[in-house]
Amino acid sequence: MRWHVAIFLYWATRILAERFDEHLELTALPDGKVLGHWTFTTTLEDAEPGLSHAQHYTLFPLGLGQILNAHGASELHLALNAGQWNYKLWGSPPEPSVASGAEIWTWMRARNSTEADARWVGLRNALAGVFCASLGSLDDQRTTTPALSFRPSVPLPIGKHELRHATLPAEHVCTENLTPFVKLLPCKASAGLATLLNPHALFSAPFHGLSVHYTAGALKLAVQAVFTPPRQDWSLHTLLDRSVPAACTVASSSTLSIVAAGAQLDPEPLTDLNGVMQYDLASASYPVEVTIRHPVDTVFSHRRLTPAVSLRRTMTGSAQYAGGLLVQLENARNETVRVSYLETLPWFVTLYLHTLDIRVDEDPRQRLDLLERLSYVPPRAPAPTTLEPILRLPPMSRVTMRFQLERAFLLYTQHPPDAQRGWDLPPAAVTILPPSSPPITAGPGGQVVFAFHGPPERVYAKTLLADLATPDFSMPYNVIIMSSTLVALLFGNVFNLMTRAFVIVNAQ
Amino acid sequence: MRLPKALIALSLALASAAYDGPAASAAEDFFGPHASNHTNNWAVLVCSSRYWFNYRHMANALGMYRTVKRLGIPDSNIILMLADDAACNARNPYPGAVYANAGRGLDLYGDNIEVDYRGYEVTVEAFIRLLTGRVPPGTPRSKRLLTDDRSNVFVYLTGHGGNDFLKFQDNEEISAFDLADAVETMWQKKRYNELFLMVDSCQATSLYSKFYSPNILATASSQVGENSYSYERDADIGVFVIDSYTHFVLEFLEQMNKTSHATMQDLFSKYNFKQIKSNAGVRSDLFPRPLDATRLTDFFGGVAQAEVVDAALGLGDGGSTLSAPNVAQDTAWNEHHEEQEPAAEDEADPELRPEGFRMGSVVVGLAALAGLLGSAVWGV
Repeated sequence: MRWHVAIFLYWATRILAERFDEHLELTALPDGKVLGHWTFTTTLEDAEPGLSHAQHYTLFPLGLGQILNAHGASELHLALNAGQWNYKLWGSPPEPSVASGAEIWTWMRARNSTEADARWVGLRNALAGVFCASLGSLDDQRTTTPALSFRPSVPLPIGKHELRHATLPAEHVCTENLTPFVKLLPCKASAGLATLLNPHALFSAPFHGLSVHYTAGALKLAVQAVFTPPRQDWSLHTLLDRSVPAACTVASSSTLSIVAAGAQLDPEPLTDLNGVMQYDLASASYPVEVTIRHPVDTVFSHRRLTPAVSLRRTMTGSAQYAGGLLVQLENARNETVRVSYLETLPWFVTLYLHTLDIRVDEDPRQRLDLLERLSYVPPRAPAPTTLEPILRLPPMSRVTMRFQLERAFLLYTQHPPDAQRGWDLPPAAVTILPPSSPPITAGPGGQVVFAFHGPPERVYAKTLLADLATPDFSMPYNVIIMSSTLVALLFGNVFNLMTRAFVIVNAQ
Repeated sequence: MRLPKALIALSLALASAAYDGPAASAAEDFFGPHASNHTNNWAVLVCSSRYWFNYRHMANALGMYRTVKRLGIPDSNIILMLADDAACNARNPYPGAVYANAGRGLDLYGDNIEVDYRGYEVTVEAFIRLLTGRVPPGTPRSKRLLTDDRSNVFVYLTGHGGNDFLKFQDNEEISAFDLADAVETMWQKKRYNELFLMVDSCQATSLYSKFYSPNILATASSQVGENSYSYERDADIGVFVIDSYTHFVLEFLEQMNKTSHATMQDLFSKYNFKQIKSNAGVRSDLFPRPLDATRLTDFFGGVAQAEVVDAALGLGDGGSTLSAPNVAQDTAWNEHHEEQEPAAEDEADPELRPEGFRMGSVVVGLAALAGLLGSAVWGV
């Protein structure tokens, strides 16, 4: 019966030119952890980008396709992450969006800003419904339009597009996000590599994240997680508590790669190139179970590439009015690296641009010459501040950028329910730009037009907690009680004085 | 002039007689005199407390979620609102799992869960908008309560409460008056057939004391002036994992399955202070049906009567309809048949004909109508 379905679907996908590929890569990391990276890619090979192609999907999820079409999203990236990515030990993440919490950025087709805003509201609410996440809260207070950092990954279709970027740093990721995510796949959670997505193992991982990327007819669903194996020798079963029960027959390719130089694998892999050992799951015997054994004196010779720039951001100062932000960008390469740094601050954290201070290493001189270009959108409640300097980092140096901040008092109704926790500042992002400055020209609609060099590398900083002064929330209640008591006492006494008369009664 | 009136009376009498008959009354008996006439079930399960130490409130709501799903209400008809994340909380030693008993026997979170409102989205405003249907534009389908006038709605609230209020997110409250008005709005907008409210909080009966709309059944864990207590604590999770009242109700419901005929009276009569540790209350004055005829599955389950047929059915040419089916029925269906003999006979009738509507009476009625029109035109 299954092969009937397989043949039918094979021909159906050929007619509609849809293709589904899945891949899992397990990499041994230097600190003993294991990085798991699942990618599920559905490609519409003959899709006309934009709103015109008919939605006769077999493998592409119709719900998501309808949402993207209805809101004119030509490019969408959504990431839900939890944990801290350790760039030094784990290198560059396979999926670059590792910001803690939720992050969406999208290029939407829109004639003007108002239309883009209306489409953005619809898009984020629809995605909130699909992924069971609080994406509907990405309102004006959290949405920005960075001018330089989030360029389209592939050329956008013809027409005016606008960018919207928003983050929700305090967002949790849990099984309710994984459930609809897996339901977007053709084989769901019953066959193929998606069966290995065990929520208990995934959400115990020190870092875990789900991401959705849609660009011009290609949908990529990715999961990346850094697991802690119970022992040095692990297997799919001990790491993930699952094994693959059956093949996903509609997948054009279904592969498993294990990157662990010097390790012994059981069963033997199909290919072994430079320490990348690959299995083809389409032709494997099921259930699939892979065991890896490290001989006694294994030295981790394969290290993942670290990004060119490392980023560290901290808040300085403890007072409400005298705070500051300290950003350290370290260039470990022997050449000048151009980066664009994106800082988004909520409207009540006021940044003083005139206090911007750039220094290199221990040199006390101000180095504003390193600032090639600056894009600054001042806050206008509720819209946040967007600060985007483009810096040229000298080779083998550490550039320190400082600026001063002031935190405002909020009205007692503007605080979140757990106000004493503080407000999460969105993670800053450093985008590594190509060395030669591409001509940034103005397009016909006035939008900025970029040359394409493929998706750029991006490094994220940690989220910070801004401690805001909270009022005493019990004060409205206290005031009401106090004034009611006073009025009652006053009125009561006056009333009694005026109307009560004491009469002496004979006690007989 | 009396003749046209007599003709009217005659035609009306005949027309009404066409709908009376032994088969029609048998059809009514089949469903029972107090059977519910709902066609779909919805559940709104709300945990209104935030923070890790209120783990038990989230476990309450998740226990109800699991039970309601098991008894047949699909995810699309369940609105689950959790004010905080217990399963993937940084303090949870068992990530991705929420347990409701010491010893961690059953994971309530599982692999397949959809939380519709979570975290800061669970507010009094969001809850009232959900009930009344006045949600902001752009609200996705999974966050809307798409009930109609034939929906039975089960609303479960748990959290910290007091006299006439329930606390949301530790910083705002919903009052019993607001809740009563919201439900009245639902009634006016025909958004429920029958509503069953269950509350597990301190002084919970005060929350249903202000209702004034019809077709509401309510039960709560403790009386005014009384606290509700938690049940047990798990040593490794470190907090209380379930409340006594909800634990009692879930244990009772665990003995049921989708085809159970257990009634509300069975549940309410089992309430006892020793197990629940508080005096649970029931309000049924606004509820039209007797509690011993109201099934628990009318609210907790999404029961659909299904008939499993072994033989092939021929959907043949023009006139002939279904051939006599060989029905393979489950026990509940058989019980129904045993109780209602006349209906069984009609069920076996191979020719489908709308019962109680005789051809003859139609002819007579039409003739009377024609006579009436004739007398009107020619003025008898």
